[in-house]
Amino acid sequence: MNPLVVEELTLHYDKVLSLWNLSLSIEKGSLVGIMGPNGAGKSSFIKAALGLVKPSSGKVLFWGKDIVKVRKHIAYIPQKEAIDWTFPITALEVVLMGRYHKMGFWKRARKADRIEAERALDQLGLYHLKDRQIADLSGGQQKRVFIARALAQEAEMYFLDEPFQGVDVETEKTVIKLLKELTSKGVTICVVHHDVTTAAAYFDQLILLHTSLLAMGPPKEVLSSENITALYRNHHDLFEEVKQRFSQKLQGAP
Amino acid sequence: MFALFLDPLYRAPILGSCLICYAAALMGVCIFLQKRALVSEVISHAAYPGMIIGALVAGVFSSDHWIYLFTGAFLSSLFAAMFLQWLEKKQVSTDAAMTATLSAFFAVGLLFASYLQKMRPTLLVEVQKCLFGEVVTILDEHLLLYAVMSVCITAFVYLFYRRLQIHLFDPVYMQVSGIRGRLVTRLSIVCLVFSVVIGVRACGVILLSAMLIAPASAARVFSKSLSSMFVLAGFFGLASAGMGNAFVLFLSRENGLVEPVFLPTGPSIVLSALVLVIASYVFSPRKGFVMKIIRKAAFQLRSTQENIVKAIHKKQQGFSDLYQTESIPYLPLWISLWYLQREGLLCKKSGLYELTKEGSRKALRLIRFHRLWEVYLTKYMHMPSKHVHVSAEEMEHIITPEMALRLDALLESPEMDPHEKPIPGRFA
Repeated sequence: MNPLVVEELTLHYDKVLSLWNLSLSIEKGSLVGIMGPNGAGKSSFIKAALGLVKPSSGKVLFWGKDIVKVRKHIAYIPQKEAIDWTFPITALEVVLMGRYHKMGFWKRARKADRIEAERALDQLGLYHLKDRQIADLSGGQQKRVFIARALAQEAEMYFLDEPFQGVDVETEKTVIKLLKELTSKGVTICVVHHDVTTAAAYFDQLILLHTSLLAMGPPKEVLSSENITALYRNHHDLFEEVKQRFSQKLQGAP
Repeated sequence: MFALFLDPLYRAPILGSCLICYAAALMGVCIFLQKRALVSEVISHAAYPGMIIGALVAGVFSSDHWIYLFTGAFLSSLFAAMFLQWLEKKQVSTDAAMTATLSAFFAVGLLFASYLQKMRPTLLVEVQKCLFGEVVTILDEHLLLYAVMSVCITAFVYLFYRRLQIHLFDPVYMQVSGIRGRLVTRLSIVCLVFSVVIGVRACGVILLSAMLIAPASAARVFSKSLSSMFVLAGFFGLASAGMGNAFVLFLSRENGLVEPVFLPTGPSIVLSALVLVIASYVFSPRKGFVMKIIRKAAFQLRSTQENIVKAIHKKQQGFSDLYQTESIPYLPLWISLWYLQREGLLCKKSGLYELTKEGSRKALRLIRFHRLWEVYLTKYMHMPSKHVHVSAEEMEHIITPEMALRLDALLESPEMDPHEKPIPGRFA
């Protein structure tokens, strides 16, 4: 059973079509990069998959089940902007959130939870910063804290929304190395990514999105010259416009 | 002072306002962290129509018990909070939704107020008192309710701590990882409404927001985790109530006897809370300007001391020599010399200062940092060697032994600086 199967997913965001008839399937243990120009629906895809927004039509199945039943196996590492970095919370406390499902009724952190959370921080080289307030961490360290939370959660599927935005090269490499280790243990990971030059080295599979699925497969095939030209020369513009118009009409636009 | 807590006239207002401020401060932390401070304003204004309608209902039963006003206020505030949430769900922007809810509910209150004036003018007076708040109207019988509320809110924060933390910090994570947040969201709204509606009695509709937000913002300055913020905010809430009451009693004192209170306590509490906020920003250990001045002075003093050590390393000198050649102001020089002697780096022999063994080590270390930095600047930053001295003169105070090790490794342990002077070894 594949960890993620998407069938004919269509999504409107504020009456604007952002995903159209998207079908794909991701295999266990693969490290998948999701690419496409701005506004191509990369974040929308993740949000729809995680059930944060309701699709207009289509289905998303995790291990053949509805997301509601498997939520605790899924970790989401949000975009930098989605987090209030001034919040009074230490790195360790953030990671402890990942242990929520394993805590008892009143959700007190047990010794076992602390040990696991500390281990997760240690794996990302952050143990010495565990009592630091997140506001006092560097951009790369902040990102790693959230990956440590996913580790502590022992999730089997990760979604990372632009994890390398504003992160130094060194951190980017450590994070990718860690993600590769995780996939070798059978974890499946989806990453929204921007940089075409690094994509081939980082991912096993690439998804090229532009409202609809342009291509999916090994990076070398996906990053072929036709696909890239198609994407960035905007041959799709007219097609997009007609589709947009159509779906707006369906929704009763004037 | 302690006797006041037993005095039948004062104990209820004093204890009551303390409990109110404590509970309000705890819930204030939640809305402060959600950056929704104005919610308290909306909820407190929405209590007004509830009190009016409660008074009208009381009129039907020809009673004038306070419980009618309270229940009415609680229900209408809760309704307002839910209405606000509904508007936001419908994509109305938060500020617009808040403004609309606040004015709409207050308008309803004003409409019914004229009714009440016809039917029960005495009750309208009671409601107006609540509108502006009067601590003195707190009676012993109210205290029980306030105590129950404080205990409930404390228990809520304590027992639901982790859920609350996730709800406030990262609601998206809560949703994605399947943590049930509905209960904690609802309970936090009920607790917030509860504390606001009761708080209205002490400070009034208009001043109440300060009671929620001020302790939280003062606590934020000193806390790096949510738990310490709750504890501190609760404490600041109590402190502002205590200070506010003390201030009023102090001003009402005459001929050594405590006269009946004639200054309003609510504004006094709010002003005390404000004083706490200002004080905590001024004395904040991280960003407060007092600590900034202290840290700045400490750094300058340390640089001065290091300069003195270097100067004496070159040549034994007396006080006046140092004063003239090093152009260090009198007081810092005096303090630095005293400190260096106390720390065993310097000793005075027949009017001249000289370095102890440890003092010379310190001097050599400084010279090492200085010269390493000069080599670094010429080699890697390609600065001409005649210009590097000025920068090194400043940076030698900044460089730590750990940084010096890195510099040393990077430069492959140089022996000479750009001016052909030897660089002292690490263990010289």
